[in-house]
Amino acid sequence: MSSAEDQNRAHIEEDPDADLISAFNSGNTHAFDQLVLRYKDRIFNLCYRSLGDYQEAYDTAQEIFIKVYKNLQSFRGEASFLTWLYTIAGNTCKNRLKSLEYRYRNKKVSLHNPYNHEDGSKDREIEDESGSPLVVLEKKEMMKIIQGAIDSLPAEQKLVVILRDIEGLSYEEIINITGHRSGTVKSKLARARLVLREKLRGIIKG
Amino acid sequence: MNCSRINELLSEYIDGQLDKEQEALVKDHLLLCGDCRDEFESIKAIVREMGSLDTIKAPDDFLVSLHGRIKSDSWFQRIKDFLYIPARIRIPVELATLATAVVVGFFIFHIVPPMIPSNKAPSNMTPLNTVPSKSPDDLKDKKTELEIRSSEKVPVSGSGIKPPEQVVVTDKIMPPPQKKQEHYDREPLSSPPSVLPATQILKAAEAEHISMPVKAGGFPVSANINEPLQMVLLLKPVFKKELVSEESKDIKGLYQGKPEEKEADKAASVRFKTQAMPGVVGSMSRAETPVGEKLKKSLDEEKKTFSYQEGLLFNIMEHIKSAGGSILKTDINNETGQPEYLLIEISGQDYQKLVEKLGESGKIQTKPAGDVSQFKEPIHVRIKIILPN
Repeated sequence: MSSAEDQNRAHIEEDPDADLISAFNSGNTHAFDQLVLRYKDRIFNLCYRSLGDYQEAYDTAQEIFIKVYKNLQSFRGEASFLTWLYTIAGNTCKNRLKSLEYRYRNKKVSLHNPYNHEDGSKDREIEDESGSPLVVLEKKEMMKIIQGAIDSLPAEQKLVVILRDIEGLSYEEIINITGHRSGTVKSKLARARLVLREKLRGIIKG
Repeated sequence: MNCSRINELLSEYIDGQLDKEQEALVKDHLLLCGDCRDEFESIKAIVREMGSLDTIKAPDDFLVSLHGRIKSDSWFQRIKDFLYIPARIRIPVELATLATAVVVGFFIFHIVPPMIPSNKAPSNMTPLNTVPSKSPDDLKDKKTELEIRSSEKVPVSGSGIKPPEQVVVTDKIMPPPQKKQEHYDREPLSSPPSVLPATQILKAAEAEHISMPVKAGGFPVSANINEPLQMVLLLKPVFKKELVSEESKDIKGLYQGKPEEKEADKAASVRFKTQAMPGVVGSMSRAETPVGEKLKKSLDEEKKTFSYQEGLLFNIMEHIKSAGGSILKTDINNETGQPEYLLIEISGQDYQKLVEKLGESGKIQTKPAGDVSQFKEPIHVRIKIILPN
């Protein structure tokens, strides 16, 4: 057996999702549900921070998991399932951003007034579990401004800064997800932080 | 290391990605440079703030909704796969071209109605011309077989001239064309023949076992082009002044058959009667209307008068002669003494003129229809004469 195959087997055995993946490939569809429940919030958060819109994040997150469902049997375990999942999510978000770039360029998420759609449905409100209404208002305003600053980033910088600073992934994982070199990831991350620092100067103080 | 270079390393310094040497340099610089220290603190605050952002959780119905989308998506995929099956099959260009040619050929030869030559009459006109595709030699051979006969002795079916299979009949009588297509654009120079009911012609055709199907547009369903042209002439009632024109010529000159046939035919056909036909307006005396010099002389000698039917026959003969045709034989009904059939020979170029001339005497139906103007050799026309009641 070659060393590459041993390495892949080691990856799969170390992957905490290996059992669920194996069960799904054996025909247990409930294993897929477990994977969804395990990662849906992280993926949804990534989509929301990338797209800046709750409904778009909802649709995109569902699209990501549909892709996972269709392609999970082809997952060979060269990387962890989380990396593979984030790779799909990052590419899907970038593609969605490109197609909806003009439409959502200046769109901001509504955190205080539900937007009524023509069909009667309403935009979902983001729950806030903090204390007084003043604090809630200040925090919502803060989140709105921060999200606006994130939205202003170029797609590649946005993905890198979300993966690193919001999702908390390591540089190695980001390199595997984005496919960029280490220097490129560091450079993009540094530029993204400087842009955010400029956008949020006076709001976020050190 | 200057401040600009330090600022470039601050992001990695925050994440602990610098090696120990660079990390020590940055750390020492930040202790000495207040601006760089402020920059470091601001970036560190951004990183901290990003990491402290609330996680936007997926709604509770996310998994249920995902199941629905996966299910619908699988159906959509099945339909899409089904529709794309033809696209997955690679068809050679040559095979596709051949299949297209077969379809087009089938459409042309089985679905599209037969093309009508442009020199034929439009659909609202009765076709009067025919194209017999027989050679002149065949016509000569046929001519030698023709004999003068009476309707009693030799039935039509056994006369060697097969009855026409189909004759086009329409109730509309249109003027005969003058010259090819010119008649489409202007009125004919001669007056059109009077309109007579086509039922009389149909009855005559039935008596002769002639099938006369009528087809929309007046064109024949089929035609046997190896037989002489069949013509039915329904004479219209005429006044005596119209019976014989001033340009009458020698009737005997019209006969070109065998001498014995001429004599017999003459004896049978040119049998003048002394009394006029009762009830016929057009009855006349020979003295009033000359029909030919020799005939006139003969009539003068015998002091007989024309019968109405005989006058009509002479008039027809004149038309045939003036058109350039010649009579090969004449059939006379022994009981009625009336002419029933004429077999004439005429060139294809003069056939149209013959039709026009005879059209002045009554209604004409021919079979088969077509254009024989380009047929320079003589053609035979068998004319069934129907006298007016």
